[in-house]
Amino acid sequence: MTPSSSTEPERSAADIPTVRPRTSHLVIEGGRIAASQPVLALAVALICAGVVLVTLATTGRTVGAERAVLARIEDAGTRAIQVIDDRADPGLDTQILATIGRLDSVSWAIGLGPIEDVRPVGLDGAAAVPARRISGSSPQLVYPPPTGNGVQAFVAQGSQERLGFTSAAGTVEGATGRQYPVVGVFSASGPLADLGDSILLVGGDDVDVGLRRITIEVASAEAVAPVAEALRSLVGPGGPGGVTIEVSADLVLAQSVIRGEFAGFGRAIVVQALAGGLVLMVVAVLAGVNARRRDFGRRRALGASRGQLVSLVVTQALWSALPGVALGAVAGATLVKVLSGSWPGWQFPLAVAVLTALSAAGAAIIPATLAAVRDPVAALRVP
Amino acid sequence: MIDIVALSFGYGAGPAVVEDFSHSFPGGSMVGISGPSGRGKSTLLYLAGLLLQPRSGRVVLDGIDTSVLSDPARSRLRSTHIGFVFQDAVLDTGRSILDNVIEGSVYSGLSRSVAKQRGRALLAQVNVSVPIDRRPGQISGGQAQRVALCRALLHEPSVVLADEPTGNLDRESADLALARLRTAAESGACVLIASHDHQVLDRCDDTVVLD
Repeated sequence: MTPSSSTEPERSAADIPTVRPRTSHLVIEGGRIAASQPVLALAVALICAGVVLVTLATTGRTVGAERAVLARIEDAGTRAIQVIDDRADPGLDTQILATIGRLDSVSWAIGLGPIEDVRPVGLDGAAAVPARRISGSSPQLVYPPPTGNGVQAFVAQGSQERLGFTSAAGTVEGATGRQYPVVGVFSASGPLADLGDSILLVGGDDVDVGLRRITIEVASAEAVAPVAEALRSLVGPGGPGGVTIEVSADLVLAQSVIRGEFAGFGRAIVVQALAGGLVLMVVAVLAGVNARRRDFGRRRALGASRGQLVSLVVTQALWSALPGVALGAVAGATLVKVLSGSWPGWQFPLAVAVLTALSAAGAAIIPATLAAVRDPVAALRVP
Repeated sequence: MIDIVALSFGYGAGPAVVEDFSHSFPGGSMVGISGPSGRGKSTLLYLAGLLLQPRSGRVVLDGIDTSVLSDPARSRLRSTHIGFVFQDAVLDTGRSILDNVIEGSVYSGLSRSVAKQRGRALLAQVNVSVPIDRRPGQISGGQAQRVALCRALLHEPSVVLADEPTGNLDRESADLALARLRTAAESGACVLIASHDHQVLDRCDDTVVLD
């Protein structure tokens, strides 16, 4: 046949109307398609719920165990730094202590003066107990908070027993005859655990007596090394007969190793759960796409581009996944609470839920692409 | 209008189904395409509808040479210029009648509210009187085909391609469908109908025979 002559001037692709569907329309349409295919939506939702539940139930417990172990290590003084001054004439003083207290990452710092033996007044035959002046403070170190201008003594449980006191009340006397009222207790724990048999002397005008030791706690184990480095330049040369800076290097290392082990284990579980879920989701979406080939042919005939078809399938999978990940997150967090006694926090379940939902969307890409590149005419001719 | 110039096409590496076909289909007319089975009537419609890429030749749609267009551009043309009616309705069984009618609005950019308004009006014009929230499985085959016709006409296309649109319909439903296609042609659209049915072809302005 011969074509009739066209009376219209030829136009170009630029003349095609540029009105395009909004991305939001495609996203909403994906939701509508998900709602119209409840079996596929339910399958994807259940798979996602299972992935989130398994991940939270296993990794959540691991994270809980990691926290507990690391907390125990931190209690043991991982974040503590001790500055010991063995010089005959100690060079540490309250000015250095104040400077240390202002360093980044330093939570608190206290200075301990020379040891002075004290005995209880009025209790003959009682053993001498070491007493130390302290400068600076740490949260809730002594109780009750010191009042007045004079020097006040605080006992630990061990020193109270050695002094023969039935309560944290009485008077102790130093070798020079100076007396100190015992007004409260202090907590000999963490980096101060070695002071359990000692008395702390707080307050007084003559506090700047020279410090033999400064105990510092930093905000995190990672901050120990840089703070220790800063201290070296601050307090002068180390070595025998000088200033020594002690950190719990072994504990820091152990903490790092444990954190790495737990993190590796947790990551492996998450990866395995996601990989398993990913395979199941690919199979489910592929089955759904294959069962509705004519739908894709129809959509192409109605004007959907290949990219839009992929977007529709991906958003459909995402919509289907949302109720599943929400259910899995709630159920998983509850299971962690039941198994470990504490809630896992909201960040971890949220992260797992988001990761799983994104996996569902990712799992849909391959089936969506296969559907999009299929010949639309062949798809329409499927009986 | 559609100008088809020296068009050839075959499926895969197979023999040509359409070979060196040329014809101009003007707007405002209803043209029948007839011929024995296997001679490429449906294939010609799919080529004209830009669902198939020809081996050679051109399809010029409303002055636009579609042979040089990318897939997104061809899809955009389909969504705005072309309406398809298939032999069976090819409706989405999971969605309501109205949702099926307005499905194309997602791709053409037509607002949902306007699409719903047009969809209801079209359904009334072709006498689909069942509630619009019914699913395709709850209506008759004739009604389903009329729903499919409404879907094709929603965006007021300049080209309507109907492949045996009355093949599964009773005479009354067929008359309704053909009347609506005639209305589209009278509004300026180019309506191509592939059919064996002489009663359908007799109602066309012109007939192209593929033999």
